[in-house]
Amino acid sequence: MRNIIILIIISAVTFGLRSLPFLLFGERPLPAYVIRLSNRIPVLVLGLLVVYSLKSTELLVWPHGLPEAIAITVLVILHKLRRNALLSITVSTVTYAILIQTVFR
Amino acid sequence: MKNLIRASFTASLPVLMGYTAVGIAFGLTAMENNLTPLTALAMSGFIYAGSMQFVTVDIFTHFSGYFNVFLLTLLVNFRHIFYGLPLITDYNKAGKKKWYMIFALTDETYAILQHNRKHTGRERIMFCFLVSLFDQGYWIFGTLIGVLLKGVLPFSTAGIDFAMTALFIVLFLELISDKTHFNSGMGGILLSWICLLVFGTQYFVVAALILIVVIVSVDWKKGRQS
Repeated sequence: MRNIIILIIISAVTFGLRSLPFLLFGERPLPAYVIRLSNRIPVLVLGLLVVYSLKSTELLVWPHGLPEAIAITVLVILHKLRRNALLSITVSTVTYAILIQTVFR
Repeated sequence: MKNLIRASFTASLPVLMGYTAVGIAFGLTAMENNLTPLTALAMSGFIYAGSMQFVTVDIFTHFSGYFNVFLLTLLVNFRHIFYGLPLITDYNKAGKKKWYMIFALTDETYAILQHNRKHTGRERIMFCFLVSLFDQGYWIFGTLIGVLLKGVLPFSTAGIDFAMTALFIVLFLELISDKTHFNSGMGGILLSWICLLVFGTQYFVVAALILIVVIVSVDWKKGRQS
């Protein structure tokens, strides 16, 4: 029973956060300030998501984020050369998985 | 319609890899912490938020009051407030599908929809809906595999979750290849990283988001005055 209540709270809060802009502005035209926000925020938030997805990387202890650094280098170079999102993601992910399962185990 | 299904599927392919991998990891974690398969699947069906679901497993095993559950969810998922903003105009025309699409607005779905903007009108709505639906499908599929594979996985999936990082970086590279976004993008990374160092993993997202809103607002006011 307790777990069900926990599940309901978490689902409701998550959905509430996701629907907040829609509840606030509804069908009304967006104020200029909000349009500005929605133009500027995506690139900043994507930068935040990159950092967020790397947040558990420990730079101060071995391997000092080396597997991440190598995989990201592969990703950036490959993407500059071929600009194929799926290829870049697959190759860098496989590189990373191999690195942490063999070299940096 | 057929073309639209193909376009949505292609756009969602990076998420297929990422969600299946992380979904498996989640299913395994849930089983290792003695949750029932049904609970794990219900979480992927109704919460549908990657990192929060891992936190939820921890909450189940170390419960410290409902109010803490509430606060923790706010903290971990605070960033989702901003995902609807660029999509409001599109989603308001989506009729009954609207509320499912809002519910399904995860980091990855948001990033994909924000990036792929070539469809317009009804096609745009259908595209957003299909990508949302596919993405949650992958997530539940991964969870199911993880739940079933407890202890019998033939190979290690360690490191496959890097696909999420790779997805964000690729979308980031695409955005900053537009010169007008380059400085903002680099600024966003720097600011988030400093926040991570100062506030730690638990609070840095909220701190960074507040700073981002403040900076954009100050910038906007300056722009209006000149």
